[in-house]
Amino acid sequence: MEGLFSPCTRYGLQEFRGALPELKLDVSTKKLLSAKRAFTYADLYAMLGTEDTAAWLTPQGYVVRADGRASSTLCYLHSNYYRLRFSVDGQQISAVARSSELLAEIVDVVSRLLIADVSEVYELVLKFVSNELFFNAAIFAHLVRQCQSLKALTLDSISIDEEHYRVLGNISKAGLEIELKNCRIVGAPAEALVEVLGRNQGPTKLDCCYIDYSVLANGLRGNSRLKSLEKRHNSGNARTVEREFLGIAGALKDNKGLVDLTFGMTLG
Amino acid sequence: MSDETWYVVCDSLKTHPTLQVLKLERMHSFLLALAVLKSRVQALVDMMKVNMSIHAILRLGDCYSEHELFRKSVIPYLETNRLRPRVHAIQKARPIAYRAKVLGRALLAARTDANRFWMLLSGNVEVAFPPTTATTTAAVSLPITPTANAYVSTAAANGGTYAPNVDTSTIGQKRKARL
Repeated sequence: MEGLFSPCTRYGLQEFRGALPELKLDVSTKKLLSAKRAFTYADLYAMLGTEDTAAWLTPQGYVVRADGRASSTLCYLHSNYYRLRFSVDGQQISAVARSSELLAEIVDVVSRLLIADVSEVYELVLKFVSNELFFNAAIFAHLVRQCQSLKALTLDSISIDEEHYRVLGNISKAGLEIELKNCRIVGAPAEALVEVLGRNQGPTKLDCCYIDYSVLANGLRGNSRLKSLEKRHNSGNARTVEREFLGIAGALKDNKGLVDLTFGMTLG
Repeated sequence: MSDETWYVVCDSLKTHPTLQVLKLERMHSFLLALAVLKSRVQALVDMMKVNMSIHAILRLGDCYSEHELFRKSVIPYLETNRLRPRVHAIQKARPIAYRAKVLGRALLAARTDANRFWMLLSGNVEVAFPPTTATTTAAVSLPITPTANAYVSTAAANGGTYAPNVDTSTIGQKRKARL
């Protein structure tokens, strides 16, 4: 770790809220990621301290512990920034940047650090906090495939494209729980999800996702992989709600795997 | 959710093979006519009469869960489904002497719940009442109350299986043999 980072005051955090140290990367990300350095996600998490250090991994993107004081302070300062939360067996790091492109850069760096040491990763949660983001599908696939011990993968509030759904299908195996939570799934990605479910692959849990459930119904027929489905309908559009309920109800007769089903109405 | 859709959803879950927990949240407007409420609960009863896996219906709201028909008819079916895997597990226990001990402990735990007690007993008739001469003699010499006699007749008619003690007076339909 020595020689990689040094203190800085890029945002003057110490003056703003006191004792929020900042670090900046003194070498290129290429050097940081080199196998010779053997710097990993766990090292980064340890370096960020118990709760209050921000580290700039790229000129425009930094990381903080997601559950620390630095995160809450910076969240206030940068409320309009893009952020993605990694949670690896409970070790949570938020990557933050001003735009989705800049966030993609830093997410790429963190993902590669993660890949360097994933043999014992059991739970991976990716939560996008403020807006939509499209991962690079190849990196995503590589990341998840490298996690040989992975038991639970959660994508929270992340919009991914059809290629990602195919990746989710391809990595599906017994013993790997895949949860999609609060995800917006429309158009081609929704069709891809239905296609994946039709092959008994993909998510085991769909939790409050924004999707046309009359489309999803096609994926439920004959499916035995999806174990949990939570759908909350907006009560403001009665006709759509009825159509979606009827669509799902029709499909449930042919479903073979659901264990937990929630129908709920939200006030709208 | 409209009444029609409610019935369709209940109907579609009748034969679902794996569903265990069903949560229905804010499924109606604030004012629900009593007749409509009863009709909706009846749809749940009809669903549970056939479904073999659902063991919990949650977040329904008090007007459903406190309805007499729900308490007397839906809940026994839910409990039956919840207990069924345990009955199967006891049935598979070997050797028979060990199975008898497991059944004994289960019966002890269920002694205050007539439905659960009877389900465990009727699902393990050959262990509870082994076909030996001595046991038969002892059983014959026991005074049989009309209630106990009725239970035995029901079990025999069901081939030694269990039907929950639901309130059939409000359902107006014959109970379905289960297991």
